[in-house]
Amino acid sequence: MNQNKGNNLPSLGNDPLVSAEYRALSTERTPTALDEVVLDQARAATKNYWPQTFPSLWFRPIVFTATLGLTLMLLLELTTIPESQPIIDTDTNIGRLQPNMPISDERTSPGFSQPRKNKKPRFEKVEAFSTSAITSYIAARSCTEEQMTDAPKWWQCITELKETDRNNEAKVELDFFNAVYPEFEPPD
Amino acid sequence: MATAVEQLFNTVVTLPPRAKVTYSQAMNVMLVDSALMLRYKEGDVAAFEILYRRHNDSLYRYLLRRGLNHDTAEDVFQDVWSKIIKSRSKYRPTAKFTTFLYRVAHNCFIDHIRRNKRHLAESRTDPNLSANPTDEPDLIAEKSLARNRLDAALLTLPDEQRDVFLLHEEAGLTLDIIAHVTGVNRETAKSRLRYAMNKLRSILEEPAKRSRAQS
Repeated sequence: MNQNKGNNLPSLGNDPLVSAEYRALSTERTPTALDEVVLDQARAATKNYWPQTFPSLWFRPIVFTATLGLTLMLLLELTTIPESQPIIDTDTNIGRLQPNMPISDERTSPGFSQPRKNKKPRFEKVEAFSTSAITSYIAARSCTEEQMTDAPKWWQCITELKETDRNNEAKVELDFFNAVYPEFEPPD
Repeated sequence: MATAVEQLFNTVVTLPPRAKVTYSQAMNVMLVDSALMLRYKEGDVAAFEILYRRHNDSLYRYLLRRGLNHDTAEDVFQDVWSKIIKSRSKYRPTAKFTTFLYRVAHNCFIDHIRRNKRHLAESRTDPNLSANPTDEPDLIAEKSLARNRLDAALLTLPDEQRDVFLLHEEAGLTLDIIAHVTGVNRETAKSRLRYAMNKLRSILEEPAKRSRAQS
């Protein structure tokens, strides 16, 4: 290198011996293998390099913000999901409910209301019952699972309960029946 | 910032930004170090190679003359360039590239000394490594003797004076930059350089004086 010709060193200007001798003798060169190592490193560094160009200046903050936003959304979503989802119990065909929900609606009033004719089960309607009500129903149910999956059979079971003066059981069954088959119309 | 960078680059040679460039010998001379570093920052490896070839030998000699043996000098040398490569994304042409390079080298050397107390060369520069293969054996022997004398003279200098002398002779840095690189003020750097020069002169003149006295 030795490119200090332009330096202003007035007090050192009369040292040609030192500079000349040093430059004449200091002639070591970098080993070729070392050159290759450094240059390979320089090449490798550019391969995975994301240059500081315009897009990256705004793209990276956007990516960061989007990731953060999505994470927050996911967290919020998870925290707002109810403790227990209304799902259908495949064994009993009864949905599970959140605690402390009201047991009755207009169909659970005393006395028999007249169910309608639609045979299509609407298990989601069972959500109107509390967990404890469903649990106690499952424990003390009078009609069989097979009867519950078919509206006329379940209705028949309820009618039989009523005819044998088991009115309380009949009422419980009817409440659940109305919840599951709200559009069932009983035969005359 | 990009505008300032481009302006700096274009003052040397007009090239479209991020253009694929084949560097001719003439262009090598024209491009200043900072511009090459900026080209490398944009991913131009050829620019880095030119930059490297400009400074590799002098940096290597600087480390050797600081008192490191070949193996250690190679390690520190590689460390210096690794740091330069890694810092390219943050590089700003606020000073000459040589200032940046030798500041990193100076710090790497200091770090190395702190890590390894026994840094001084057991086997210093191998005379045959720098010998010209076409030289006559007598000339090689003579050069070897002279180099040993120079190395011995350099080793008699205090480390700070040797550092300043090498930054001046090898890197070609001015006193202001030497002061900046070594972290002292200009007058201190100047004083160290003067002491180093005087001492080296007296040592290097000694054989000539002795031979004159004998004759």
